[in-house]
Amino acid sequence: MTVENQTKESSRVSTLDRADDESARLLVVDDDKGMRETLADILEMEGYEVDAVGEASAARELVARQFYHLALIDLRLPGVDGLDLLTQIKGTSPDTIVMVVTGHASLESSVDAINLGAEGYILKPIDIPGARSSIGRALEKQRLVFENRRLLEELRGMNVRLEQNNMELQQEIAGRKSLQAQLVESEKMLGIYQLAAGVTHEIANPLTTVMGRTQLLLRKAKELDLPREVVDSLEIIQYEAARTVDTLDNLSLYSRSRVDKYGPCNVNVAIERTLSLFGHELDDNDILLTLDLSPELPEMAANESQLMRAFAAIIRNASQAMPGGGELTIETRSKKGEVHIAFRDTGVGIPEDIRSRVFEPFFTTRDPGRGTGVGLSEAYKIVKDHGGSIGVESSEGKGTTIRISLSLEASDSTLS
Amino acid sequence: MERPFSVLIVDDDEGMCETLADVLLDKGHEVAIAKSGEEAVQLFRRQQFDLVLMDVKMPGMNGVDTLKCLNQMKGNVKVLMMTAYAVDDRLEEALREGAIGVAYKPLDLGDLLNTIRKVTTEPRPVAV
Repeated sequence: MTVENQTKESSRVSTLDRADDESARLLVVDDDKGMRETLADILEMEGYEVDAVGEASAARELVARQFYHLALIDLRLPGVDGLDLLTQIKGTSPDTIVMVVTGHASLESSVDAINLGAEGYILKPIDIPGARSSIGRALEKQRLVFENRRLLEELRGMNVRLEQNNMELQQEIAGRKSLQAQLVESEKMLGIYQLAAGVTHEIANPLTTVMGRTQLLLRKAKELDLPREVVDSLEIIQYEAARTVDTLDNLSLYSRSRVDKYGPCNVNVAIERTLSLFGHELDDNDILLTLDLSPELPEMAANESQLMRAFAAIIRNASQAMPGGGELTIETRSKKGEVHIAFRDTGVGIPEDIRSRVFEPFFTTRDPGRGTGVGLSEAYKIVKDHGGSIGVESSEGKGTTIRISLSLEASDSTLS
Repeated sequence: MERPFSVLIVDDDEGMCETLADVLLDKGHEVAIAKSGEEAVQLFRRQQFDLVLMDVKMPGMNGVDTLKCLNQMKGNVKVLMMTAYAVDDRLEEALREGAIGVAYKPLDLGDLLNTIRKVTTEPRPVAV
C-alpha cells in the first residue's frame, strides 16, 4: 500500500467517522516518549485531536476533565497496572473506547483487557495501517451507538409528546361530553320549570273550586244529617283534593316566599358594597380592578341586596374567566333616565356558539362540581325583575363585557 | 258569628269566583264578583269593600293595573293578590303598589278565611 493510498483510506475513514465537523478526541497513554509522540503525530494527521501523556495519573486527570472518544493505553506503565487504568477510565467515562497497546503477545492480559471493557488491543510493534483502521472502525461503531442512542431519545421524546397529545385530546373529548350533558340538562330543567308552572296554573283554579265545593257540601250534609256514606265520600274527595295540592306544591321548584324589599338605592354604593364582599379575592388572583363610577349617578328604586347578588355573580364570573390574572373595569354612567353599568374583563372570552346561552339557568362551562351554573342566569333574572336589560359582548381570548341598563323609574315591562 | 265583611272577588275563572263567593257567603260575609279588572273598577265606583281578592293574571287589565286603578280612586284599599305562579314578576310590583299580601292557588280556604279575618281587623299585616 502506498502512502498516498493510505492517506486516502484514512481520510475516508475519518469523514465516515465524524459526521459533523467535530473531530474525535483521542488520548494516548504511553511512558515511551518517542512512541507516544509518534502515535500522536500519526493520529493527528488522520484529523483527530490527540492528547498524549506518559503517566496514568495525568491520564486520569484528563479523562475526568473532558470526554475522549477513544483512549490508547500501553498496558505496561511504570508503577501502574495498565488494566487498573483501563478500569478507572471506564468507570469515569463509560462511553470512552479503550484500546490497549501491548508489547508482548500476552494473550492473557489482552483477554483480561477485553473482559474489563476494552474494545480491542494493538500489538507492538504497531502495524500503522492496521491500527488506523481498527481505530476507525471502533470510532465508527461508537458513532453508530451514539446516533442510535440519540434516535432512541428522540423516539422517547416523541412518545411522551404523543402521550401528552393523547391525554389532552381525551380531556377535550371528556370536556365536550360534559358540556353537552350540561346543555341537555339545562334544557331539560328549563322544560320542567315551564311545565310545572303551566300545570300549576291550569289546575289551581279548578282545584280550588273542587275543594271549596266539597267543603260547602260537607257542611250541608252534616247539617241535613245525610247518611254516613255521603259524608264519607265527601271526606274522601276532600282528602284526595288536598293530596293533589301537595303534589302541586312539590312541583313548584322556586320558593314561594321570595318577596324582597325595594328602596332607594345608589348603584355605585351597591357596587362598592359588593366589592367589599370579595375582600382580597381579586388581588389574590392578580386581577387589577379599575372603578370608573360616575359621581352624577342618581338614586333609584331598587332592591339593593338583589342587585348586589347580580353584581357579585358577574364579578365572580369575570374572575373565573381570568385564571392567570387580568383587568376588571367597572363603569357606571347616567343617561336619559337610565343607569348604565359595564363590567369589562380581559379574560378568556365566551365562544360565539354559547354566547347567547350564558344567561340561561344551570348553564355553565365550568367543570361539574365547580359551580351551580346559576351565576349569570341569576343576574339576568334580577335585572329583568328590575325592568332592566342585560347583554354580553365577548371576544375569544380578549375578554368579555357585561352591560346592564336600569331604568330610574320602574318600567312597565315588569308588568307585562 | 263574627262581624261580616264585604269582599270583592276579582278573577276571570267563573267557577272559582262562585265557589269562593259561596264559601264566604256561607260564613255570613257580603260578596261581590267581578270577572275582570274593568268590571272591578266599575263596581268599586259604586260600592265600598273591606277587602278585594284580586287575581294577578287576567285578560285585559291585569291584577296589578287594576290595583293601581283602585288605589287612585280610593286610598288605603286592602287588596290580597291571588296567583298560581310561585314566582311572578308582577308580585313585587303589586306589593310596592300597596297590596297587603299574596295568596297562592290552589287556595287553602281555611287559611284564606283566617287571613281575611286578620286583614280586616288589623291595620297592615303581611299576609299568607
